[in-house]
Formats: sequence, C-alpha cells, structure tokens
Amino acid sequence: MNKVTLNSKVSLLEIILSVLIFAAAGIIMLNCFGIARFTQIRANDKAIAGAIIQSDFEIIKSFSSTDEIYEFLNSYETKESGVINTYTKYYDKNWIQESGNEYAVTIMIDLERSSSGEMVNINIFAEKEKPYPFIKTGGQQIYSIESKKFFPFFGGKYGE
Amino acid sequence: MENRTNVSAGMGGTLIITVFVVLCLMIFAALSFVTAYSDLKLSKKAQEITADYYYIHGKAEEKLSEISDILYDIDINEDKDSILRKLSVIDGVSVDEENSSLLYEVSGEKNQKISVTLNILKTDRFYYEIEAWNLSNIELPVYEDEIIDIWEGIE
Repeated sequence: MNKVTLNSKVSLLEIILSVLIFAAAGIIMLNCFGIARFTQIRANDKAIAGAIIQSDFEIIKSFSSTDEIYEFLNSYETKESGVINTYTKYYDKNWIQESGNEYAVTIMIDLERSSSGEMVNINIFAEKEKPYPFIKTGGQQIYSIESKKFFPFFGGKYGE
Repeated sequence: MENRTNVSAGMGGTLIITVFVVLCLMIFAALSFVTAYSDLKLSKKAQEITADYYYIHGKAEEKLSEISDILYDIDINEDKDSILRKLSVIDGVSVDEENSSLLYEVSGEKNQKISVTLNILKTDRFYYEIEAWNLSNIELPVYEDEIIDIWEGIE
C-alpha cells in the first residue's frame, strides 16, 4: 500500500515573511483594484450622462419655439429663474430619476432677443454629488456641453 | 510492503507560493485598471467629439441668426442684387445668385463640419428656409486599392 505523508518544514520566520509580503502587496493591490473600480464607474457615468444630455439636447433642437423649450423643462425637478434660467433633475446611483440625488443634470438657458428671432444659449452639464473615492483628479463634473439654438420669428423651417 | 513517499514543501516553499499568488493578484489588478482606464479614455474621446459637434452647431445657429437679422431689415421692394450684396457681407457665407440660396460651413476641431444651404424666399417679407443641414468629415481617410486574388471555384 502506498502512503503519502505531508511533511511541512515551514519555519515561523517564513510564515511571518509571507504575511508581511502579502500585507504590503495587499495595500498596493487593494488601491489598484479600488482605482480600477471607480475609474470604470467614472467611464460608465460619462457614457450614461452623455446619452442623457444628448437626448435632452436633441429634444430642444427639435422645438420650433422657446415656449416649447420651457414646457419641456417643466419636467425637470427644480427651477431657478433669473437672467439665466437653471433647471435641474436628479438621478440615483443607478441613474434612475426621482429616487435619489447622487447625480444631477442641469440645463442653463440664456435667452437673447434680436430683431428677427430669439437665440437660446444652452449649457447642459452632469455632476456627481460626492467625488469618486480613490480618484483625486477629474472633479465632480462628469459631462458638459454648450450650444445655441436660433428661433426665427419668420421662416426658418426645413425645406422639402 | 508499504511504499512511503514524503512530500515536503521544504524551506522557502511557502514564500515562493506567496510570491506567486501576490504576483498573480498584481497582474489582475493591473489588467483591471488598464481595462477601466481605456474605457475612460474612450468615453472622454466620445465626449470631446460630441462637445465639438454641439459647439459647431451653435456657431452655425449664430450665423443663421446673423442672416435672419439682415433679411429682416431688408425692404420688400429692394432689388435682388442689392439683397445678395448685403448677404455676401457676412463672413464665410457664399451666395448662389442663380438659385437665390446661401451656403456656409462651420468647421470644428475634431475633423467635422456642418454645411448649411438656405433658400431665400419672399412673401410679405424676406425669410430663409433651410434646404440642407449636413454634418460631414473635413478630411476623409484615403484607402489604397488592394487587388486580392480569390478562388474562382471549380468549373
């Protein structure tokens, strides 16, 4: 009959050394895994924020008057009126609206009247309420877009 | 008769295993960071291109506003040449006298441009109608022709 005997000759010094190596490497690894996780979350946030912002922008672009813009912006949760009107809507950590305020998407509307129409300066940006852990750079603003839309009093429609 | 086999990790065996495990975990950590970072770079690149597109869109709308203001101030009885002369003053706008249309382009920094064609129309006042609003590349990549011999099959 064959018998296999495990004969471990492990000294205490070796165990201590192994634990020390593991602990030292663990600190670096955990940081690395942490940075990787939150870098991935940051990348995903950018993509989702970009999709939401672009969608809102395209909706605004499709309007034919400034009144339609204001009607659309009533769907935003908060409104600050002034020279520049600011509208904000909030999202939770899974980017679901009306169930948290981890992320905020803000639209700033500045109206300029000219003799023949109205020019709307639009600035949309997405922000995170708290900064990302492990990542020092980047700030809390995730995405930002600036553009303009002109609404003429006469004409301006797309030809057939 | 009994055969006895002694399996021993020996001195330093634990250390070697620890170093190996740590090395593997380090590689996993580095790889996950590299993947996440390349995703972030891709998202940033997409954001830059999108922001550039909306910037040139805004510039094109600004030009539209300039044209609209000029058309608004033109007297309805003014002759065609005078109207086209006034419109050609706008920087970057070219006038197509034959078709009574205006053309202009706004270029971005990320190899994209918006080309706009407007028709000038008249009822009780002059106004424009957007005939074309196209987004395109400024420079297209040049691909060299490559002739590949393919199998023609059995007759």
